[in-house]
Amino acid sequence: MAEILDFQEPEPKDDQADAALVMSLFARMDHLGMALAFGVAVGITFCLATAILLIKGGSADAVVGYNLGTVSAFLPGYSVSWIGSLVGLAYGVLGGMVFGFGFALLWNFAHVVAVGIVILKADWFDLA
Amino acid sequence: MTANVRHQNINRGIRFNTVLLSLVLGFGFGLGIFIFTHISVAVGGAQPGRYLGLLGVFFPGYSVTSAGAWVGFFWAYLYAGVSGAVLYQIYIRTSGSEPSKQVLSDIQNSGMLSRPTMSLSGNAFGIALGALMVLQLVLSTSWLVIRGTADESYHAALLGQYLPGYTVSILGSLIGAAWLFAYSYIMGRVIAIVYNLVTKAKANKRAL
Repeated sequence: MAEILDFQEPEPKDDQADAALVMSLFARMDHLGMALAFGVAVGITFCLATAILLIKGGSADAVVGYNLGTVSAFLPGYSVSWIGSLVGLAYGVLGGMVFGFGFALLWNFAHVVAVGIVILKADWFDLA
Repeated sequence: MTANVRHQNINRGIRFNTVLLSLVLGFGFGLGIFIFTHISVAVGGAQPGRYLGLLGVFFPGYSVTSAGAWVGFFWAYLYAGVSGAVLYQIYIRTSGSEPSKQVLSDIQNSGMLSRPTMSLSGNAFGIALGALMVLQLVLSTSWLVIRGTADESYHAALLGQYLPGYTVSILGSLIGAAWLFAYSYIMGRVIAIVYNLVTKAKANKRAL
């Protein structure tokens, strides 16, 4: 890995492309980017899921929308209503952001540990 | 470094990321089911988890109890783990060299030595997410048909509200799969667009 990270010497174009591919595999995932991306996607999905039922004529009391309405057991304030769809959007954004941030955190941590182990092993072999 | 060694490193990296995504998603979803089961037990009163308990159809031995939460963790870990591996393999095979273009450009421009920031291929991520969701819908519907409970699966049939033409049958799942693929593909692209916008904005800020 130590060799892969060393780009100081000029390399042929194919080698550089391969090296870039390896670098991209171990590239850092941006925490904020991943949090916002999943926040937007989950928020929109939850909001749309509620809105579609409302457009089709559902409400918390009718058959359509009753099942989704039970999500309020986990998300206080949520209901199958237009205001509820905004509450759902907020919960979705929040939940998605937590998921995205946590995911990026675990991903980066595992990569740092893995790359560290590879570099340490390479150093030990060099010393031997 | 020879091309052969580089290709070996690429394959090792892909294998490592496949396992990593599998572990991270497995742990995340396992923990999610574990927590939701305990919340259901806490707030459910005499009949906790009326809907969450339906997961027992796909998670043998699962129930909305403290002990069932561990069974749920195991199954969710397994399903999400396999899903993570499938997602990454489809993504990496579809994206080709696209995610490395930004890294290559950074190397050529600045001879960058620090760890680069990942960029997402919207098309590849959309296809991978869409394919995974389709696989899950078709397999789970097929399971309901195989075990002979398709006619009683009222809750699964509610998916027809969102996926026009979906029914708890093999044909219905294929019709629903087309809609689900389209929606998942769009969401995959949205995720990639937002993520890449944020990383580019941060890179531009650093460059100033």
